[in-house]
Amino acid sequence: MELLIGGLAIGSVYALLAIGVVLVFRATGVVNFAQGEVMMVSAYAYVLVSDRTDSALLQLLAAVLAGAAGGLLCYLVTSVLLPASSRISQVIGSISLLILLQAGARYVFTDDPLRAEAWLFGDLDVTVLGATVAATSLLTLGAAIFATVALFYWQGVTVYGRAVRAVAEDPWRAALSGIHVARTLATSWAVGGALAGVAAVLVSPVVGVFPTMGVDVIFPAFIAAVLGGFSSILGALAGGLAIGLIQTYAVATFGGSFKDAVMFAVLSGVLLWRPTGIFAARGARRV
Amino acid sequence: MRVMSRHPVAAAVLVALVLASLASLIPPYRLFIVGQLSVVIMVTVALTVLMGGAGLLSLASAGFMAVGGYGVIILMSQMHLPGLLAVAAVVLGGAALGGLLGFITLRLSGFYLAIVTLGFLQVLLGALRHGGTLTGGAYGLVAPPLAVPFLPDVPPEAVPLIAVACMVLTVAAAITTMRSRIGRAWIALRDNEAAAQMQGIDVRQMKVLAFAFTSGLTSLAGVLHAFLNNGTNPSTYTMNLSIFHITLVVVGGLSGSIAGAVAAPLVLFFLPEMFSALGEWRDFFYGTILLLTLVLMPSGLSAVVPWLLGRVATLRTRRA
Repeated sequence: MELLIGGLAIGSVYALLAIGVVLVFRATGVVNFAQGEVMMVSAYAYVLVSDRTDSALLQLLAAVLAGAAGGLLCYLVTSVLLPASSRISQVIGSISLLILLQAGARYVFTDDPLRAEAWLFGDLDVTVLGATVAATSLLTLGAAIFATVALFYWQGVTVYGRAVRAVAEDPWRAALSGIHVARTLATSWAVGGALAGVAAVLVSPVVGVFPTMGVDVIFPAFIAAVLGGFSSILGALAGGLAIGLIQTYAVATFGGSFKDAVMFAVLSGVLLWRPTGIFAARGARRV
Repeated sequence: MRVMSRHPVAAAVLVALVLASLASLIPPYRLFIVGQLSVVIMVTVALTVLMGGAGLLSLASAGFMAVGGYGVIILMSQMHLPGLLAVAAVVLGGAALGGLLGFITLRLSGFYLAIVTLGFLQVLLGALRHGGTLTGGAYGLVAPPLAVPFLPDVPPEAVPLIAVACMVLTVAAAITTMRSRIGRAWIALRDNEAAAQMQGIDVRQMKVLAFAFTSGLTSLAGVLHAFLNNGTNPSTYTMNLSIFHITLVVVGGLSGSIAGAVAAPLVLFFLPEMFSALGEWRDFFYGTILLLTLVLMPSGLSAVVPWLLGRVATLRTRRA
C-alpha cells in the first residue's frame, strides 16, 4: 500500500509535467525539452519564498507564477523568435533554453541541493486503509487529478478553452473567426508552465532543489506523454501514474540502478506495440 | 579536378594522407588539439547528415561516442581482439544499435527519436557508472596500446594523425553520401515526408539508414576520442556534450551542408581557447550561441562558406 501510494505520487509529478508537454505540443506542435527546467526554476522560486514567509498560499503562488513565466519564456523563444515553419529549429530552441536555464541556475545557486519544506501538510502522516502514508503523497495525486479535471473543463466547456483547440486545429481559420492566435498560444504555454510549477512544489521536498533536477524527471514525463499518445491530457495523466507505479515497483524489485533501463524497456515496448499510445484509436494522420 | 571527381575514393585517401603527414609537422601539444578538433569535426559532420540532411534530431551523440570508446577498450583489453578488428566491430555495432533505435522510433514523427535518444543516453550513462569492472565505474577505463597491421605498437603521437586521416575520410564519405541517391532521398523526406513517400522513397528505411550511418560514424569518433585521451571517463559523455554537438551543427547550418559542418568546429572550438577564463560559463556560452544562431543566422555558416569560397574562386580567376 505504501508502495502503491508512493508510486502514484511520483507518477502524479510525471503526469503534471507530461500534461504540460502535451498541452503545448497539441497547441503548437513543439516538444518542449525545457519543461523540466521550467519546473526547476519554479522549485527555486518555491524555496526562496518559503524561506521568507510561512503563508502556504504565497508559496504556491510563487511557484505557479514562476512556472507560468518560464512557460511564457519558452513561448517567446520557440514561437516568437523562431519561425513556425521550421519545427526542428523550434525544438532545438527549447533545448537551448534547457542548457541556458540549467547553466544559469548553476551559476546563481551552485550545484549543492537546497532543502525544501513540504508544502501545506509538512511531515504529517495519515492512515489510509490501514497503511500509513505521507499526506503530501495524497496531495500530489489529488493535484494531478484536479489539474486534469480543470483542464477538461477549460478546454471542453469554456469559450477560451475551445479557442485553444480551434487554434491547434487550424490557426489560420481560427484567426479568421476572430480568435487572437498569439494570445491563445501564449496561454497554452503559460498554463503548461504553471503545471510544471505545481509539480515543483510537490516534488522538491522529496528530491531537493538542484540545477539538474529537471533533466532527471523529463524522461519519465516524456514516456508518460508517449504512453498517452502525446496528444491526450487524460492519456498523459494515466501514462504518468502508470510510469510512477512501474518505476516504484521496479526499484523495489530490481534495485535503483535498473530504474532507467526498465523505463527505457517500457518506452521501447510501447513504441513497438502501440506507437500511437495505449489509449489512442487508430486514426488518420495529418499530412 | 575532373579526374579527381571521377575517383572520389582515391582522391579522399590521397587528401587524408597528405593532411595527416602535414599534421605531423605540428608540435606535440598542438597536435593533441588538432586530434581533438578532428574528432569534433567527425561528430559534427555525422550529426549534420542526420539533422540537416534527414531532418532528424538526436540527443545521443555523446552516447554513441561512449559506445565507441568503451566498446573498443573492452574488446581490446578484456576480450583481446586485435585493434583493427575491434574498431570495425565497434563501428558496425554502433551503426546496428543506431539502426535498432531508429527502427523502434521512426514509424512516428522525428521527435520521438529525440525522446528515445535522450532516454538511451541516460540508460547508457547509468550502465557505465554501475558497470563494475567491465566499465570501470566512475573512473572509466584506460586505453590499451593501439596496434595495427604492419605497426605492432602505434606511438601515442601518431593517434592525432590517424584522427586527421579518419576525419578527412568521414568528410569525403558524408559528401559522397549526400550527393548520392540516398542523400537526395534524405533531403526529400526532410523537406516533405509525404511527398517523398509519393515519389516511391521508402521513408522508414531511409530514416533508419540515416541514423545507423550517423551512429556508426559517431562511434568511430568515440574510438579516436578514447585513444586520444588515453581512456574513457563516464563524466565526459553527458547530455551537455550532445547539446554542444547540436550547437555545432546549428552553427554550421541545418541545411545539410558539409562545408558548414567542418567550418563550425573550426570557429567554435578555438573560441573557448581564447577565453580561458570561461570556466563555468562554458555551457552558458554555447547555449547563447545556439539560440543566437537559430534566431539571427538560421542557415548558419553554410550560407557563408560557399560565398567565401566563391569570392576566393573569382579572385583566382581574375588573377589568372
